[in-house]
Amino acid sequence: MTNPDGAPALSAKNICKSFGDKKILRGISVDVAKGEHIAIIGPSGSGKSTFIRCLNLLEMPDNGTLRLDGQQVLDAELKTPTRSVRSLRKRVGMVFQSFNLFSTHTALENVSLAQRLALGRTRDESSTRSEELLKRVGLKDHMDKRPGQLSGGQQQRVAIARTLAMDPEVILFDEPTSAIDPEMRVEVLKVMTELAEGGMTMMMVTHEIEFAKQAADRVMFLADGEVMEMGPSGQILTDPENERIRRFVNALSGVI
Amino acid sequence: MLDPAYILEGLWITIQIWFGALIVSTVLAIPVAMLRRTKNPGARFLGALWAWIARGIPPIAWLIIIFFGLSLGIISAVPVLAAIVGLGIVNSAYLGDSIRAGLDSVPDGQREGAASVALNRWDTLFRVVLPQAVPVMLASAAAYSITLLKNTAIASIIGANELVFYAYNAVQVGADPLLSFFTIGLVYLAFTVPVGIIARWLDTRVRRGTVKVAH
Ligand SMILES: Nc1ncnc2c1ncn2[C@@H]1O[C@H](COP(=O)(O)OP(=O)(O)O)[C@@H](O)[C@H]1O
Ligand SMILES: [Mg+2]
Repeated sequence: MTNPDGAPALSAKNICKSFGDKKILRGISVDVAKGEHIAIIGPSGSGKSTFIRCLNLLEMPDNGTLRLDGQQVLDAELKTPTRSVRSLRKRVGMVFQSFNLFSTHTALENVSLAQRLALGRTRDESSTRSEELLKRVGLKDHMDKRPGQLSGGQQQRVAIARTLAMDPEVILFDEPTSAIDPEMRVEVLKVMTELAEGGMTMMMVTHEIEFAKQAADRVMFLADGEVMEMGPSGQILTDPENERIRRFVNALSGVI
Repeated sequence: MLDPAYILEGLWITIQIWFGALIVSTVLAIPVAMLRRTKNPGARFLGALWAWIARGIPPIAWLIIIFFGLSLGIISAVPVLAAIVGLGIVNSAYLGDSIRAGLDSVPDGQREGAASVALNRWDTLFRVVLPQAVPVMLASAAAYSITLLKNTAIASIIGANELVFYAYNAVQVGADPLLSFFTIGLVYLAFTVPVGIIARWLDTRVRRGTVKVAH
């Protein structure tokens, strides 16, 4: 990807994380260029979720540095974020596997709440923006429903709208379709594809191989808390050199 | 015969003790629940210790300890106040459990969702967590408040002039014991039954998931 003004949108260096004495991440580094889309794949338990959660400090890394658009936001050797965690989270969106919508709020309120409370937008501004975003993700007729009244695919689109409402510089996705019935996944993937085409910078843990081939510029293969391979998606997803990655990708594609 | 005017007076004191103890226990239960939910083992132990002591001593013993404890101090002992504090301490242990269970019932994902859109702790608590946790808390707190109301009867022992106090005094001067206590029994029922219905209603609502959507 071209990178007009030099600094990567997001730069992570040597991210390390242990739970107890179990090393989960053993020093992961990646530079994500502006507008770039990176897919993260790898066996379950390899640390994909932990890594992506470290990027918005839902998990605090034990070591490593984090830069957003060239600005350092975390120097984990100092054990403290150099800027406030909240200001980082305004700039880095997150879409969870299980949506995590606020269950007592309607779709519209879910998208509006943080605009008012965290960004200081007025009620009118935030509602207008929320309506526009919910229309964009195809939920015009569901704005007043609570999460419990929506299907998984609809909830995930509300969650994407909630994140978009913060105008983030980067959006992280952690297996956004794996908790959704297969026939409902396509509408979520369609929204994500549109976002990618619109130039949003995205890091996505996903096992949707066809989607990743089409939407991701690069693929990161994680195994045992390390980057086993990182390269153009076309190469890694269609013709991987590494035998372990080949088996993994074939299994996902249903090839035996 | 138990004079209706005395029933009203006794009821008024009973309600004062009931509400007073509810307020005291709420004030005490919030920090207790917070202590018991922290990661710090010392703080957790302190919270657990409070709960053990508060509910490990019979309510009647608490009232007598507080009542005579107070009378050792400068202020002369006020039975109603002693009952409010004593029953407040006892109920704080149960209410602490309600609050803790309510907060625990909210899935971590709700807090993570809030964190991911940069809500601060205060907004996360009041806008996201409590709207889900409060109905869960209230369902069990309402049930405990029935026990609390019935425990106010103990306050007559230290001379608080609540319902049982008047019924007992009426019996002393010749009223029919069965009829007198049956009468105040009905007065208690007039409160415990509606609160019980509210507790049941909240509980089914919470269980049905109109309040909480599990993920
Ligand atoms: N909060 C936690 N406490 C302890 N262990 C954890 C925690 N979160 C994840 N792990 C462990 O870290 C490993 C990697 O988990 P995760 O990042 O979720 O993997 P993936 O998303 O690739 O499946 C797993 O073994 C998991 O059990
Ligand atoms: Mg995962």
